[in-house]
Amino acid sequence: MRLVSLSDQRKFLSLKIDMKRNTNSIVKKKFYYNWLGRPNSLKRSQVLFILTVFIPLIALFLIIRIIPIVTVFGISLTNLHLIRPVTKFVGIRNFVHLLGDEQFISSFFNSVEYVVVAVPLEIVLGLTFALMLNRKVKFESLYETLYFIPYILPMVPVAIIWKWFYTPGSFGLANYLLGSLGLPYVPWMSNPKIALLITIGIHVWKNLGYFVIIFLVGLKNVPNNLREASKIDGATNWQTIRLIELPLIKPIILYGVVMATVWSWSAFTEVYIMTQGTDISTGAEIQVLVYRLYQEAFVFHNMGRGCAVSLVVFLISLGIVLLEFKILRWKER
Amino acid sequence: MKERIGQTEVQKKKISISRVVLYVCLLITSVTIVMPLIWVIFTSFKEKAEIISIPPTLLPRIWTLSNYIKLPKVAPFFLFFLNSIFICSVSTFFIIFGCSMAGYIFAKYKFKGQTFLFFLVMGTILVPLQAYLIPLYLIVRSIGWINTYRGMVFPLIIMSSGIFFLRQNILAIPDELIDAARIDGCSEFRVFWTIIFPLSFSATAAIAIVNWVYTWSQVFIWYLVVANSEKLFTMELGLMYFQRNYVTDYGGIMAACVLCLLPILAVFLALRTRIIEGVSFTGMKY
Amino acid sequence: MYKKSFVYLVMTGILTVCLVGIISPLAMSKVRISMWTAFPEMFEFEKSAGRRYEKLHPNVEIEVTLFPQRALDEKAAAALPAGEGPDLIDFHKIGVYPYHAAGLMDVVPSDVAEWARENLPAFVFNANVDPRTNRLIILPLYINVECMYYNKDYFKEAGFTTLPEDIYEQMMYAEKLVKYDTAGNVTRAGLDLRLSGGASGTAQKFWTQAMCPYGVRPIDPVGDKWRAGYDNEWGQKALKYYLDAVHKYKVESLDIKSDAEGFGLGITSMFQRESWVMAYLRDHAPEINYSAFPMPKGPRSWGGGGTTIGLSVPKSSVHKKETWAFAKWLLNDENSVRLFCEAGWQPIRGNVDYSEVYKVFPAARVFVEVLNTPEFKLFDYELMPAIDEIHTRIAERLMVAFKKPELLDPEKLAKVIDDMANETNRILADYDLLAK
Repeated sequence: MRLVSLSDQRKFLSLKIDMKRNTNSIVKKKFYYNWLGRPNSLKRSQVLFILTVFIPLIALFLIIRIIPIVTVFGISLTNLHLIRPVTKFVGIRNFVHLLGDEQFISSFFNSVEYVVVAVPLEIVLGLTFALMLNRKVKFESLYETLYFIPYILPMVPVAIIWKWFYTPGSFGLANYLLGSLGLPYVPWMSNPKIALLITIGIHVWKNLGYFVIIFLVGLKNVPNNLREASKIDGATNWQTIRLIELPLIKPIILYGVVMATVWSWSAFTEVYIMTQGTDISTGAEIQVLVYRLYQEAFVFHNMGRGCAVSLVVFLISLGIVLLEFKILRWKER
Repeated sequence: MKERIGQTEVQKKKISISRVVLYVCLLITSVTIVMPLIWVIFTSFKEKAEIISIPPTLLPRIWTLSNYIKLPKVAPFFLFFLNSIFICSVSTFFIIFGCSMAGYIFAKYKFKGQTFLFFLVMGTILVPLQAYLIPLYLIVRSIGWINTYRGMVFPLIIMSSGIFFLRQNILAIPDELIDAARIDGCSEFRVFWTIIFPLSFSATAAIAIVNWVYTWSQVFIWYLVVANSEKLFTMELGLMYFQRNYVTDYGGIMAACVLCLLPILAVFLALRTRIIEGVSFTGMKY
Repeated sequence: MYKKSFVYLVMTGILTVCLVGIISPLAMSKVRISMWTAFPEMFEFEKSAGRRYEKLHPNVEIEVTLFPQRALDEKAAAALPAGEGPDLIDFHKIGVYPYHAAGLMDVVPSDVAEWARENLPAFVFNANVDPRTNRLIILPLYINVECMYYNKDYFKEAGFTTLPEDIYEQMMYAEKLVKYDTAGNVTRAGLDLRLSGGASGTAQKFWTQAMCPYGVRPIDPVGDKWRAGYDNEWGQKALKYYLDAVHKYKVESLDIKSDAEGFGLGITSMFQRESWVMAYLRDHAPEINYSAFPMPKGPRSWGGGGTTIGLSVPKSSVHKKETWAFAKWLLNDENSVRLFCEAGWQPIRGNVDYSEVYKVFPAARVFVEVLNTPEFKLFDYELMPAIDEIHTRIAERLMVAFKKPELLDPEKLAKVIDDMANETNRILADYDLLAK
């Protein structure tokens, strides 16, 4: 029995004749693959991967990070207002207005005070606790946990709790503690300097755990033989710390300083909570730059001026970070 | 022999004064740091009269659940909780896959403009959200995503430091392993899924944890600005808006605060070591 | 078999289409009105009012959504320019006015406006008319009349049988009512003033409490533009009143809890606020024995704040006629009484019998009397776009000023008022609204 039907045989025959005809008359064509490469090739697979994964990611990255950062510059030069329909280019009028605005200047200095007070406190206290914890203490992980808890808590309840703690008069716990020690009541909320300091205190309380942990991890990474060698050489504990451990965790301290600076400079939530409320609040003196940004853009709907404030926040933040890199890297020599 | 015994006797642990001071310091400072939380938890179980009484008491004389019971009447806190979970989960999901894939591409691929893009990513690590908040808001507003879940999650699906961190991590994976898989005929997706992803899992987990904590506790201003309707509030936002209903009700607001703190606290106590590891390691690999 | 199931499918399909065709006209004929509001108490009232209206008009469906505080502001800013707003907004006039200026809102139809002219107090009607078009732009629903609440027990303890009539008497009463502890701190404030707080409230309370008696206001109309109105000796006297209270007579302290909370805790003797405090005190501090009296007279005028909050309809609303009908219905007698009782806010209408309300809130009588007293000059905020920013800036400066006892020196005080007025004028200039 023939396995192939007659009709199929005829088809094959005609194909053979066609092929013979073709190969006799044409030149061998070069076969190009398209830009994707051979099917199942590495190149094609890689290109597909990049197309489906990387391009969207980069596009998202551009939209979420780069375009906004760049347009801050642009919008700060206009008078974009959320409700006003016409936007026009006004040059540096927003900046001039801000420079003449007393509240803006005081917010600026409040932010500076924030950084100047919070960063050293966080770094020094963080280092101190980390060094204490590094001495083969029992229940070390318990202490670590206790220190770290405030860092993971959301800021809004934390700020509300501290605001309640510092309620002025006889209703606040802080005043009660002072009173029971025989000390006079402190006007926590009504004295702007004190109010700013307690707000910074909330910030430091919350972030301290982060610094303790990163310094502790850094200290643990210092090779033990170095420490033992210095002990054999007769160094006291304090000398060991100062000359061996601290220099070795310099990069981590730098990282800590940079992070602390960026966080204090852009603090918002705690200031927002402390200045709200009709029964008792700290008032407008403790406002920081980011709060002013929020107010200009989302309360007064003045996006142009809000972007001007954002620009100030961004540029100075950049400047401080670069400065810190320079200073602390220099010391490394 | 005798000398040796003598030596081991001398080497018995001495409890020196400095040790004692150390322990005392640690105890005092850690308790001081956690004290406000403990106080708040106890206050939320007190009755109103006891809260404003002088002298204040630490432990409630009368334990009461009334502050918690009236919580649902004030605001739909459970809904807020679900919203928070939803947003954090979606964000973390995108971060896990997005950052590891991007890290893989930056680590193992060579193409034009790669270093430029990477420096761009690195440059945005230290820029806080507040600096570019306004244009981001305007962009989200122009696509009509204000007051939607999409709008709230939108800026949280990219994490520059995550990409950086995972790139460093994936660089350490030997190339031969990947080439071997490719020779065996794996497509890039399979290479990623079966080799890169499992090998960089601990780093990815660290990133995921950091991102979870970040979106739960440290992003407030974005939610404040985008969420305009009660249905979308996260726990922090809900707590802030409904403070107004609590004006003299200290017990109530403390109970609401405890409720807001409880989820992340529970997660932390359960995954304590993982979280601390994750947070500390992402800072270390510079 | 194949053919049978196919037939069944087709029959089901035809049946569904028929059913949908029958039901949907019924559903379509229902008028859906969506409503946004910013205050939780109004939300409850509007929800229940909506349900009652639905019973009266079965083809209408009313849906009320609450956007607390600032959220309504932002939501409107996002939705109204895009045409996605609700059918009815319950919001204050100065929040809605920018959208009017941008042409996004519907004006009150003339029949409803006529009814409003007959039934609402004259000053309310006039304050809500757009000067450019002479049309009523918002249908006022409730009003924030400010009166002084006082603690009757403390007044009796101090031996007072009458109520203060002018601001000097008020300060004298406060001096007798204040209590100190051994260290000299104020433990019970004689006169509680709003010295701090978020946003613009401090400036608005200051306007009623101090600026009004001296006859000044934050901005004065000059032609069709504006100018700061307190840049004179009367403005300085207004600020001096507050500074005297805190630093000279020491009847108020920055360290005492203020506002409704302070009053509810019994640590203040009198304070100025709107009618909703009565509902608050009923819920949170029922033991306080209180009543109210109208804002005291001043050397130059007698009056106080009376900002109206009302209903407006965006142009994007689908069923404008039914929406305005519902809005007008919300102002009828029964609803006015219910509004007062349930929400605690004072309804706009003065010509309604509120005896039901007086049974629950006896002090409400004072509020209604003030509304119906023509000699008492109630002012409302001006209709202009920069008002919120001006008030907020004034509030911020005031909060700084209240803390400085050295400002009792008249020269320094004059400088502070001067700087404040310059800033107000600068904001006006930014919006091209400064009069020359």
